[in-house]
Amino acid sequence: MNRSIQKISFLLLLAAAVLIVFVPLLPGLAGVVFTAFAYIPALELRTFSLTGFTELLLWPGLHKSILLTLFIGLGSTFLSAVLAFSILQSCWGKRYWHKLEKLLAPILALPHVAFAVGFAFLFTPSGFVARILNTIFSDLGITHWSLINDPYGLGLILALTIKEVPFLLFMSIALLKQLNINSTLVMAHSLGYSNAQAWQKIILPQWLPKIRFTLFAVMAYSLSVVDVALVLGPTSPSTFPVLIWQWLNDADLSTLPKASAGAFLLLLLCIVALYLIRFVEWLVVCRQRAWQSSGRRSLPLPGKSAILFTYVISLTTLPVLLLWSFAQRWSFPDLLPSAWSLRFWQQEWLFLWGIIGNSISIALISATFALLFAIIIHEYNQHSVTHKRLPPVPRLLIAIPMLAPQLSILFGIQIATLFAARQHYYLWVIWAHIFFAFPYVYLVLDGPWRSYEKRLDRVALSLGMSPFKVWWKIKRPILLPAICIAWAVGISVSLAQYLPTLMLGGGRIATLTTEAVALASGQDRRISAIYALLQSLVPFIFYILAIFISQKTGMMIHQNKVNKRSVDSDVPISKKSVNY
Amino acid sequence: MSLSVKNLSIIDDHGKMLFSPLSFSIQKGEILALMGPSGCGKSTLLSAIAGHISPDFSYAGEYYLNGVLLNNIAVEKRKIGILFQDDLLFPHLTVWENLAIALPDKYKKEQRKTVARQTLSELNLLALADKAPSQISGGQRARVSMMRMLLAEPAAVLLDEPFSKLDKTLRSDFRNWVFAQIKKRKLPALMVTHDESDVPDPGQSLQWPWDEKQQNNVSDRNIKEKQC
Amino acid sequence: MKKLIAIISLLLSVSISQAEGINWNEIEKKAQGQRVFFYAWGGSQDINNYLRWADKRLQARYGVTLTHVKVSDISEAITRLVAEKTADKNSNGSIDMVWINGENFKSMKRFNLLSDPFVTELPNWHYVDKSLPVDTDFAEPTEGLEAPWGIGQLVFIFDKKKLNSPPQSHREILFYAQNNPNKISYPRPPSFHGTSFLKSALIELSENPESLSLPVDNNTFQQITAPLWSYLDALHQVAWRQGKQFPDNNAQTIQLLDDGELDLAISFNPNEVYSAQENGLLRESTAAYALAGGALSNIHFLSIPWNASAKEGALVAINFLLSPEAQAKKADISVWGDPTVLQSSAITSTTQNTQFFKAIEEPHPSWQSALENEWQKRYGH
Repeated sequence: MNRSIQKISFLLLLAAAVLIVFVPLLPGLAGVVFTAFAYIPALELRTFSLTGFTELLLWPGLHKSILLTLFIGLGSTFLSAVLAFSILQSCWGKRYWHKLEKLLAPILALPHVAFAVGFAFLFTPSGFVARILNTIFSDLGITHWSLINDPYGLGLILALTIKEVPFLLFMSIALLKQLNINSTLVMAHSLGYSNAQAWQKIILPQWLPKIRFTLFAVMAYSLSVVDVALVLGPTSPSTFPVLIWQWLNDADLSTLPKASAGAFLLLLLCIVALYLIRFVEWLVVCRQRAWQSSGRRSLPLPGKSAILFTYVISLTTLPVLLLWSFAQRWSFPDLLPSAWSLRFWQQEWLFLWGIIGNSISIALISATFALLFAIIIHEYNQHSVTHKRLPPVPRLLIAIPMLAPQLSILFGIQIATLFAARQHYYLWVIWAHIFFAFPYVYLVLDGPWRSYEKRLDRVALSLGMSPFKVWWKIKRPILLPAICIAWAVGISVSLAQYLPTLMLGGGRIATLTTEAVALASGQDRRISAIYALLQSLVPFIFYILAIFISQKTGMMIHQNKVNKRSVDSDVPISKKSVNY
Repeated sequence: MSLSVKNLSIIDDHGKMLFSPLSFSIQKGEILALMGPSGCGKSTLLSAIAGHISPDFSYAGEYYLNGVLLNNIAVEKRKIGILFQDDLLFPHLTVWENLAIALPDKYKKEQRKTVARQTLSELNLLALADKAPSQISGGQRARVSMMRMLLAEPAAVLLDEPFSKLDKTLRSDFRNWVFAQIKKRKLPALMVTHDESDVPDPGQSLQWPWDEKQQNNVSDRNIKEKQC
Repeated sequence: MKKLIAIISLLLSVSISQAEGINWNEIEKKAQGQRVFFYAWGGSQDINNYLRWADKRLQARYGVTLTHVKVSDISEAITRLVAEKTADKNSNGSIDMVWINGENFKSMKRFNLLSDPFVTELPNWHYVDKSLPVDTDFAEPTEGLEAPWGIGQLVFIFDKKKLNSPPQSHREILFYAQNNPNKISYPRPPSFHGTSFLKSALIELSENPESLSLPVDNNTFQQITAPLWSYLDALHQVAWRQGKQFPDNNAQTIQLLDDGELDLAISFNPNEVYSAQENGLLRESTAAYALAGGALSNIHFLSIPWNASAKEGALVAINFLLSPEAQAKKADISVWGDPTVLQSSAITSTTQNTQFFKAIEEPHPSWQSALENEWQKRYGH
């Protein structure tokens, strides 16, 4: 390919990426602002006013709900960051670390709602744990305190934490490889620092700024989550996003301005919380840095119990779901169902195929596009580092779909799609899935892209290869494992989309998730279990596939790992050749 | 064949000139060593000639290869090989693939493997052809890296402290071998280093600071050699 | 000018709908091959399966495909319609048919989200039992904008092995709770069943129930509802989790009844208990009953949005769902168990497999949000 053709096609792709990934933000944010200020022509509200906000502020229990939401968001983010770090501290470089790393895939594949359903099955007062306790201590009866829907949101915090810890671990792995942790550790040990001291005093201040963006995503998710909070969250009052969801769905349409004002406020809360993370990081890493050089002291962190706890709870949800899906009758306090039945599977079987096909094809298309765009924008951003005139795409802009409450953005996007003369439901839904999956895919690629040894590109260029060839023959294969995982993450994000599918698909498009959520409103545990299982199984297959592909094609890199079981087996491949 | 630089200067973010404008030319088979402490801008200078512009600096001056102005030629078309202190073998390719990938496009698919293996056997490394770079020793990697650069058939060579990471015993052997290869192929070579012992011929080096007098000496001598 | 166009189009649409009304055959012909997107709550597998059956019949008989769009709350459909209205999308809408009643109907009617009156044009309309309040929906006149589909009756479910004689009134429920703490609760308002529980209690406890059929008057609201709040204050003290938490919805009360956490579950379908038993959700010893004073009853309806794409298909589908065959199937407790809205003489099949209690009418719809708001103020946080 001629270089100018390459350049033009790159620019075209870049333009397409920017158009598809960022344009929906305009109607999305406009929609929130307009409805928040009570401008909704369809409801004969044609002037801007603050009625939405006044109604919102007058709502009894608002401050309580907001405080609760902040408590849950901050609590679960803080807890998952601490647990993830303590797991890294105690398990990194251990012999079983590789196995832990492999087990991350099925846990990451487990969608939040499916996990929440399984978590509820385990921990309701009549749940599996209670049944086991009942069997051991005979006839405890049902306790009147429950982790599920408890008034302080502790169950929700716990569930969110368990779900986010693997995500933080996953993102940390790439970052730590980039930080060249092993030589740092060797150095620190030689200075007389214990493992825990080295991690806390030397690696933490490096890890925290790098994991910042991921923590943003975790925080924004826990602050704005609706579906998990509906299953596990407190009810008196509900968390703030659940209230907004209820107002938005209120039969009385005049609550719409209140709901949008709420969505607007939630967006502000999110931004405040993100700055709070930034502030804490600044405090720990920059402002109050005396602790870093204050000597050989460390806090005891329960890393091994944390990993055990996270993995055991995450992985036991699956067998419990499986049991429920075959249970005809399973009443408290039986440990196993008293009557079994295949009928729930049989009844759904015929309808499942179409739904699974739909879900998978949408996920494949949108994840592939999201991946392509993420790669292009990463390349562009790296390019803009070496060419000062080009402004990079700001990370905050990329992150908005991940950080802003989905509900807020979607209403505006939905109205925008309706202005099109004809309805292209699949197009809108796929577009929306690309839009929401993109930031996650981008985030997963971020670490690998940064840690890539750029001099490899230089060497290849000076060997006379064209920039495209350098990318295709050198960079792409080296980063292929990360690309595969990012693709799988994109697929699982797409598979989990409920609101975009429903709101933009006009009900024409049924996916596993839309069915699962609709059925969950009826609370038949068996049917919920089937859909939750399938919801986990499908992304799981793609994670396995991604791992398989990356190992097959990245044979040489994999081989390196196997053959070099020395200390530097965790050094990133791109750096490996550098260290003699 | 010659590589020449005219009035090259590099200015950093604060507007400070890293060194006074530099001019020299290197004839084929000649190795010019630029000496200097770390941070004096010698690697940046090499990058500029190779075409890898760093955004932290602004540049002025011209570079010619065999009389052709290089400034506006794309990096991959400059035909300038570069060797770093790290071998930078492609980690996902085997040893022979690392060599084959460097061959110009005129080589056919089957030919590429043959040439690569032949090169390896000249280095007595044929047994390692199918190994991954991480499975061979540092000295072996350095030699493969050098051969990879040469297989791309460059018209000039840049050496960026190529020996600084090798231990002493390997170092002088490898250095002599590299210099021999460059002379054998009659390539002009520019090397930056901060180690006196790397310099092949004291007359062919510029000591820091690279003032004009020295530059003139080098250029004069070049001219004299030409006249001979 | 705009007004003129509006009037003309209004006239046109009226004349078209009248023309359609005259000729049902024409409608069936047009409906042939149409695909009807029916937005309906998807939380019950019994109902979903019934709609799958209806789809098969409609395809075979009229060439109409009925696609059930499962929503977790029908207001999701209304939000979408509002968006379409905002975008001025007055034809080719994405929703052809909705399952609604009460507040949702009121909202749709108020913001002109419904099509023209169609009910009396349905051939099966003459089977409908006109002695039922089929022309009002929570006291809001339907004006032919929605067709009755079935009847919901507020009933309680209990386990005969645990309870010999279940409480027969709201006062007895309180008495029972005082003797058996932690065993009574109701779904959290504003869930449909929770608010219905409040209304049912208010009707029983109020000193002048007649005032409830009138719109809420802010001056008298506190006075009229005072007995309800003192009743709830007392109930919550002895209720499940001390009235600090409530089940989310009726399905959860059924789950909690089966788990032994609650002694009474709540339902709007007198026959839900049978299907729950058959599905293994409840013990065989459970049964449904209504309070002695009668069961709060309301009719649920089918309607067509103003911008529906498959209007004819929707009409055919609604007409079919009102047919004796479809209504008998729906009332069958092994299918769905939703009581029919047809005259008993119309149902010729042997399926008399249903249960129906004395009906208490719903208060005026304005009570719904007034009660919900007041409840929220007092207990919701």
